[in-house]
Amino acid sequence: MKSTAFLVCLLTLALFVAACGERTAGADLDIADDAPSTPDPTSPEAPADTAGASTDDTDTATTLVPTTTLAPTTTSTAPVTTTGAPATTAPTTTAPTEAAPATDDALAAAYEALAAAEALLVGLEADSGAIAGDLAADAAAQTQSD
Amino acid sequence: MPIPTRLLAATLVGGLTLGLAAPAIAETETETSDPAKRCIEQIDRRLDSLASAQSRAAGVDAVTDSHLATIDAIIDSTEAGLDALIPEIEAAEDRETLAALCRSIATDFRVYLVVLPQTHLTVGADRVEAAVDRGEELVATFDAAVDAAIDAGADVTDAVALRDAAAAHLEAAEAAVAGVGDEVLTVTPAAWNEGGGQTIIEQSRAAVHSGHAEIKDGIADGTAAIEALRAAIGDLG
Repeated sequence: MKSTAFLVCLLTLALFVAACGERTAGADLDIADDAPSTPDPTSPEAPADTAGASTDDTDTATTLVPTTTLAPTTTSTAPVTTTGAPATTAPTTTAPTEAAPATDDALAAAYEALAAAEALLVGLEADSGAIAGDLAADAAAQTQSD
Repeated sequence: MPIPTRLLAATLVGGLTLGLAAPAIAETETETSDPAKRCIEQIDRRLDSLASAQSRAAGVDAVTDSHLATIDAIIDSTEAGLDALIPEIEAAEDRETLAALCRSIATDFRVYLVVLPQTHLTVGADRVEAAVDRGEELVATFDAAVDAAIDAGADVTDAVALRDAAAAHLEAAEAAVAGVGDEVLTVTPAAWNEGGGQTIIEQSRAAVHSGHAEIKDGIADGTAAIEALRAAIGDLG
């Protein structure tokens, strides 16, 4: 009777162990088969798999993208695509660097044109001096008597 | 009574003769006492002045080809006429003939009252027109500087006002000398002797003086405009 009870227990234990091992192996296979080859932004599992830092799908989608991955690589476009901290620094740095060259170019053009105008002014002063010479020659002729 | 009358008449005739011959002869208070030589010296002095004026006009780019051709023709003709007088003066056998020839140096050629003034005034008028052209180029260049200054954010109000004043002076200068060269070159010694040529030459002289004054005022305003624009640009930085 005791040996029968022992056999029953042993058999039960064996069945239990076998059942547990089969369940664990099937779960592993299910996870491997279901995982996508590329992260799917619409899938709640994708950010968790890519980042590997959290199992909370909702939190990883909103915090990890702007602060760790996108901000350093998209400085020029960050203001458009992100909603986090990077957006506050990008506009103040990009706007002046684009406006300054245009102003410098305009100033350089103005100075260049002014220099040309001054050169023409010198020529005009020479013209005036020559006209004064003509009038002086005319005046000198008048001092002679015909 | 008859004697004093004849004396008076002789005195008047002699005085008139000397007075008419005086202009050409009186200029030559030179060492020579030979009247014929003194007259020839007057011719030489005029020929030198004409050659100098002709050379001067030929060296001015601003003088139009048409004006230069007319000036050359007038001067060449005047020189030829004066040259032709020299042998006549040398051959004069009496004082009256010599006096008439010497008088003609002035009255027939009017070198100092007509030919040289019309040459100098034509050159001056053409130079005023050339100066206006240069001034207009200056204004256009200045306008480019103004546009660039506006793009840079400068306040160009004062500079533009001065620029407009300079441009107005240039326009006035151009108007003052318009047609002066063509008109003054039509004056002849005969016209001067009749009185009509004097008016033209005086008006031409006044016109060139006026045009020159406008050019100078334009230069002053243009200089101020450039300084104002330079200051406006400097305020930016």
